[in-house]
Amino acid sequence: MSERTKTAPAPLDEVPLRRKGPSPLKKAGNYLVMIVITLVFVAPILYMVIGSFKPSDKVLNGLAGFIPEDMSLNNYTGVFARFNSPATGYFYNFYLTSLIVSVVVVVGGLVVNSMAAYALARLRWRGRNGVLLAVILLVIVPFEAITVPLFYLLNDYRNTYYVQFTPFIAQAFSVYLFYTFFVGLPKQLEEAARIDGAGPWRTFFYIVVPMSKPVFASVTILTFLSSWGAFLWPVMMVDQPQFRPLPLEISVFLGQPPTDWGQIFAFGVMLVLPLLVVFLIFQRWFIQSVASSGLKG
Amino acid sequence: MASITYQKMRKVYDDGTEAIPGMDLEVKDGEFMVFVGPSGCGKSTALRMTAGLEDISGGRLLIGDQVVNNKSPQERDIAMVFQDYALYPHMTVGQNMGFALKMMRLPKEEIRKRVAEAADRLSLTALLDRKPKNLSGGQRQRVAMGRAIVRQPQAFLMDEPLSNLDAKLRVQMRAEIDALQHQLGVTTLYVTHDQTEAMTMGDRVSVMKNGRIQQCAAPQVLYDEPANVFVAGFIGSPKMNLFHSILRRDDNGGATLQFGPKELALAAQTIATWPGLRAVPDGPITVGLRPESFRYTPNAEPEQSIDVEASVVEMLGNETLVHFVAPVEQASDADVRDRAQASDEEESILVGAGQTMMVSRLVPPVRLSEGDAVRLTLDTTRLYLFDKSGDAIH
Repeated sequence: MSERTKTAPAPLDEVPLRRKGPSPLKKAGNYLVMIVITLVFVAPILYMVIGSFKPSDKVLNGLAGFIPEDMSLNNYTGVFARFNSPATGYFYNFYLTSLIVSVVVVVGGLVVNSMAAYALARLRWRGRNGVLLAVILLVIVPFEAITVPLFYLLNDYRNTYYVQFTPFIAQAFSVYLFYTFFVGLPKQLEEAARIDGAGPWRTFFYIVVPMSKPVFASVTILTFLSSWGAFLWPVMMVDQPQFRPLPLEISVFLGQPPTDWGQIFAFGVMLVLPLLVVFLIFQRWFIQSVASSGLKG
Repeated sequence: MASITYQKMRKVYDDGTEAIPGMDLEVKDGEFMVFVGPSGCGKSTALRMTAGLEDISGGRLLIGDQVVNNKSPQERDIAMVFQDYALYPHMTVGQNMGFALKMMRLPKEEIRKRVAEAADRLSLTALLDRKPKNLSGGQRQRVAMGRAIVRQPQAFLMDEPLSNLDAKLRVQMRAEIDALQHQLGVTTLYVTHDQTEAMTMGDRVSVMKNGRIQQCAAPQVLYDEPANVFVAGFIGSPKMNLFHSILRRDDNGGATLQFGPKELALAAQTIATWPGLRAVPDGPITVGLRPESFRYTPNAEPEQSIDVEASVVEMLGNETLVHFVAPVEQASDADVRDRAQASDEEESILVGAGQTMMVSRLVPPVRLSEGDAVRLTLDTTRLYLFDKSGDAIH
């Protein structure tokens, strides 16, 4: 064999294709870190779900609490049985209150906040910049800071659904989210709609809204999350059982002896379930929105 | 169908920038008018003002015999094709095309019929149920056209509709748009920065610069009789060679033009073709020379020709473009400089002071290499002369 043949490069199909990437050890390390982080997040939920099916005395049992044993639906039926009188309130009523309040807050919020944001993002009117600045400033004001004035404003409407959803429909943060999305939409589409004969209303509903699914999904999830878990405001405004939402009732339940952890966990599972459903429905667009906002910086 | 008339139409932005100082033009009923010019010349602004997407600061805009200054885009009854097509991404092709008709609250059956007709005309029938993201660039372009024609508007406004297509498709769509416009006979305003597009499509072309129409004429007239240095430099590809020279008349009615160390002789008959030259005194003058005014004449007498060295040779098959450095000063008219900046052309790095990079188009093609000595003859009967202000001398 000549010298030349020895030094000639190997044919392409014989060259092993190596992908540059982390070493197997580093990869394993990465996975380990991710598994630990996942467990930290999932563990409490898993603990609650398993505990909700176990007898009360076996629920709070350290790491053994994760072991499914003597599983039954007794805790769930127990919750329904416990809340089944005018004095304690009815379980379906708590659900209904949470549902009515959250749906009104979410749907009303989507309509009001998206339209406000569109007006700020696209329409030209006097004082627009001032209003936009006010919206941005309002984002940083925590709800707790305005509860007392709100309490006095709405004191006459205690123990109603109305008082539970009204303060939360218009949300500066939602307006801001919609606003940042709308200003990023290509103007040409709206101009095309104007040429096609659509005014601002029809442009908004026919063109802008269908193109804005990601931001609508994000706002839906975030609003539903905060509304479904609202606690401070109902504590201040509701004392009659029929208007109590779920988070308020679970805290009442916690304070009532004897403490039945199995039933409390079952209550917790039923409290969390709708959140999961809403998230599963909207997560595709939600992730899209988070991803695209990341790209845009 | 209707005419479009601009009467001293002005556009001043809120910050005081005057985009269009006062535009006067009449686009005839059924005419294909092209606005062409470099970026920032005001052509798109004029189109958007016509569409009703920009307010009119002064003057009047008439569509037909109606003043439409304060009318909404819909009331103007025009259709527009955008640069990025602006197809609604969540609607199918059919819904995109029918949207304007839906806004007009036409009966569903009428909408379906009109969309089907337009789709048939544009070979879009098979694509009616597709979303824009599943279409090619050319198909999207056709849908944008379809959306315009279903409305049967008074006028089409097109804002650089071919700029996103590749070169081959652009040529094809250019022909299709042109044919469609002539079939339908709808008054069309077409904005482009591509002078080839302007020359091939327009019945008339308005060359714009700094918000003003420099010249509005049929494409061939623009090429043959440019009104000023700007139009001369803008229209034509490769562009006209423009340089400073000295005019000296002789006693026989003829004259000479300085071309570096040489004098180009102009016969008395040639001089007579520029009656306007009589008013121009001897001295500095700007001269324009189209690339095709050069002839490759290796055997010509030296005094009747110029000897140059080929800097760049482009063999294009049917012709050869030879770039060379000429010993003349490039016409430094502000118009020419503006144009060079606006179209992102950089000054040639190959030439020094008192030199101009020129281009000659040699037909039939000649086999040459870079660095070859080339003897060229100039056709002095095809010169363009411009006075100090840059206006053409006729």
